Amino acid sequence: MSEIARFSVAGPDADVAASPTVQFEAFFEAEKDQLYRALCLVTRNRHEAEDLTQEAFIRVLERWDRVAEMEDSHGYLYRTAMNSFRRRYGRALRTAKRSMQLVPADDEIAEIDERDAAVRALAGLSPRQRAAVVLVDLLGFRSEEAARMLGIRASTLRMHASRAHAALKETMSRE
Amino acid sequence: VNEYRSVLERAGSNFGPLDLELERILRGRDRRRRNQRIKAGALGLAVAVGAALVGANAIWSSSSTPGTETPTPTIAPSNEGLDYTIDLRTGEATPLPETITSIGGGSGGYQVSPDGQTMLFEVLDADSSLPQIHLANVDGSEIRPLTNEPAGAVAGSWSPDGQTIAYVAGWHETPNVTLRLVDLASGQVTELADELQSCFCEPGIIVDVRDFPKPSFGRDGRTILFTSGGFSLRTVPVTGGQNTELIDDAGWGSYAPDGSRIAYLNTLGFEARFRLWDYGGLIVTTAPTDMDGPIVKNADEHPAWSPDGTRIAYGWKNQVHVVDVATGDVTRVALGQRPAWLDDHTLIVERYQGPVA
Repeated sequence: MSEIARFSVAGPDADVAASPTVQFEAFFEAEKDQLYRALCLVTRNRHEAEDLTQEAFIRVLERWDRVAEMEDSHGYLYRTAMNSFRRRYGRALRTAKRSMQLVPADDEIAEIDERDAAVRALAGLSPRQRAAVVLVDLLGFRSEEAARMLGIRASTLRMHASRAHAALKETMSRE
Repeated sequence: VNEYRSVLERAGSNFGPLDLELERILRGRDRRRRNQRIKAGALGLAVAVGAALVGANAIWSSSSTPGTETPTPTIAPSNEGLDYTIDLRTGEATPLPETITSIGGGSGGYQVSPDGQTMLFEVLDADSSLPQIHLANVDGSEIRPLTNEPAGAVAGSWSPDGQTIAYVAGWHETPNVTLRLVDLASGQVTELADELQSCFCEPGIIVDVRDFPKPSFGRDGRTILFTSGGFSLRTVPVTGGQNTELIDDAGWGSYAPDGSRIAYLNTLGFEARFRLWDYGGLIVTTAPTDMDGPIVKNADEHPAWSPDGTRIAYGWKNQVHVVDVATGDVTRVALGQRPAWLDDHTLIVERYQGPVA
């Protein structure tokens, strides 16, 4: 019997409510949408963002016994997701493969680009710059923490964020 | 901050909802567990099969326009799975000396000194799986270790005068990957920069050293070009000090022998392209605004300039190509990876180690 079926059948008694799977489910439900939106902004591809969201939660689930004990499991989730993003991004650069070849082209984003200046403004940023502003400005991570997630120094992250701010300002002011 | 947050929130609200259920996560975890078990079992088998397959190397030669190469096998396998040299005029392949190819857990990352007498290369330690850079005469004699870095050393590159070698030390995590310079006469090692591009590999998994970009010396040997962890090309003086961004969103850069151009990989929407950039000087402090178009659409690994600067060799999906810098004509010359020039007509090629796409 699957774990889903097990706790569905068991019902909300006290023992089951305390089980790791139920804890993880609560964590998953609480975090998934925000993580997905953040990754949409970073990758500008819903399919890529969905893949990365799924991958991050799988990795967290694999270590859930330890993650559940952490003070900042939210931060761990984002570190994991950003590691996956970095790995994909770096590998795509290295191998000159277009990682998104594996997923259909995101026509919907092209449509959004057409109608929304904010999305269009983000399109002008590099993936690293987008990641920097999403982590710091949208999600509120400290620059030191965000830098660790991206594997760079805090000063480098601040530089990316600063460039991103300038570019966003310029693009938005033109709209 | 509020201003940027509202822009981001507004942008984020445009994307459709997430279609992801918990059950997919649980299934994904179970699949990964199963795959890990299968991988562990397959590793031993793969080693045996791999040994048999490397004997099946074929060397191909064909000419075509950029991005439309069509392979035409012309030369029978002759290297018996060893790294080899190939004469581009005749297609003749010659295995590298066995003293070099059979050392430790494997060797690679070759580069020949400017005087053509000495070769540097990485040797993977069979026990630790960490590479260290070694030196040998090009005939395979007098092999000696050059580095003894606790976290390994890769991506060695000769200075134009052959007196120093720059390399990348460190492993896995970008902040700990450093650019170092060793003086061959004194053995003195100087750290020039940190935060270099890492291999993006998982700790504990066998490392593919091809992932590391090589440093490249400027023509006068006073500056070194390297790829930062933020994926930009930066230069640093060999005497140390502040490093400077040269090209953003670029990596795997290599100076032309005359110092007038840089070949590098860049990315446009995650698709890497191989470009040349004329910058007309050795010290540049601003990013370029005008670049040549891509001369090769698909490129992998480090671009290697021929000593005369007329051609660039590079790898792409386990195939070695040479592009004529003047015309952009691409020739597929061999199966293998990480090409390096022995002289203007001869390439060193690392053996084929995987499927060809």
